[in-house]
Amino acid sequence: MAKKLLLVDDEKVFLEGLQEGLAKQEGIFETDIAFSVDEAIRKCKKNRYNLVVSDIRMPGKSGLDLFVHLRKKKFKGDFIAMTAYGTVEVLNRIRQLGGLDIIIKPFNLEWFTQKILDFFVEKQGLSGNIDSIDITSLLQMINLERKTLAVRIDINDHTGHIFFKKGEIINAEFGELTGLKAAQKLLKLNQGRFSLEPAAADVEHSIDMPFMVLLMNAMKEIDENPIQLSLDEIMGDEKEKTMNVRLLEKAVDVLKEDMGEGLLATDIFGAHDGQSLAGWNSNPKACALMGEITLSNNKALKGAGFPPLGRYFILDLVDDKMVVVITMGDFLWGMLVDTNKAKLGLLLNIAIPKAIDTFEEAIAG
Amino acid sequence: MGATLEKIYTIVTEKGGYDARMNLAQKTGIPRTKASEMEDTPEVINRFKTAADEILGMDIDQFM
Repeated sequence: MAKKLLLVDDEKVFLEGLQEGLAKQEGIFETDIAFSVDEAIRKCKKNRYNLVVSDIRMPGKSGLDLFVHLRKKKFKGDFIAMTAYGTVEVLNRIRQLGGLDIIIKPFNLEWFTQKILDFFVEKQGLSGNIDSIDITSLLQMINLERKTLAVRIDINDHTGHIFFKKGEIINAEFGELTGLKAAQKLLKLNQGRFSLEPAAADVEHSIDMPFMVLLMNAMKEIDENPIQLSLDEIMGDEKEKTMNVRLLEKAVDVLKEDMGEGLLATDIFGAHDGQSLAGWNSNPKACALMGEITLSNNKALKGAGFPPLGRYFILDLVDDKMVVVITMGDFLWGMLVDTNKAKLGLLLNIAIPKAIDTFEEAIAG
Repeated sequence: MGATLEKIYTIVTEKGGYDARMNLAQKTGIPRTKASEMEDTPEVINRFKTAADEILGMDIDQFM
């Protein structure tokens, strides 16, 4: 259920700007505004607010008068003061009245939104339904503000957590899944309930992929499959992609053997999530980048009415390096090659076909 | 042995790239190396052609 927030200030344009900005968090906050203390009191009689944020200096009655009134009326919510004239005396008075904080003006909208979000997380346990809010906005805000906290998601009988540290996802758990796979599943959910929780101190750091890459990959998958995915489908595709890891490693070994010193690094990884299934001198950032390049190329080709990428594409890099990416359905195979030590013909006509055969045995299950 | 199945693999790879080839391996459960060693029975050929038609979105017989 969205938290109800009342903003009080006599500066109409400023207040409407705040309300409009907070409206982007629909489903998290429901924001109401009042341009005077009397109007705020009337609204508090009619509505139950979780939080009142009021300016102190206003014509007629002040924000302090409002707080005194609310305390007398045994107002159940909390209140925060905002002022351009913050003094120790004012802060002490607000504290005496049970006010939680004082916000010094001027401030920007993002900072203010985060302040309110922090308040609800720490004091009231912010929660809501995923299908009623823009969950990506919430996650992006956590990222932008470099927050350290946990997002808990409950769906049917499953519970998941996404653990943020300084705005980056460091771990996740969802059912029996942990780490990157759990985060990828959770980011694709479009139903369930979320709540924000304080960060646990002992969460292991197991995800290195940048937050934006994770989020963009999840959004792309949703864009490409606009039909809402059920939980079973989201959990189920894990089983479909289960492969014989021993055979995958064998495929990498076949490539290494054929390429010798010419092969500098290689990874077989998920096309959508960049997660490596097998590799040598693995580089998670390179996997994420190649996944991104492949998806965007295919999107651009499709948009222009061209056929999609074929069996592979090659990036000729400076410093005698070359990247070959083989597209294999849900998987990509990236190779970093030293062009001084490896022949392209050998790579494309002998090494890759042999390695592909081995990979195919693994995928055929 | 498996000449028809191998040919289906070749056509699917030519027309749809490795994406299509991996899809065929997943759908049939038989990789190309194994297919080339199998007997070309009508039942298996039919299974491969049906999967290939679905993957390529066209009738593979026109390329056989």
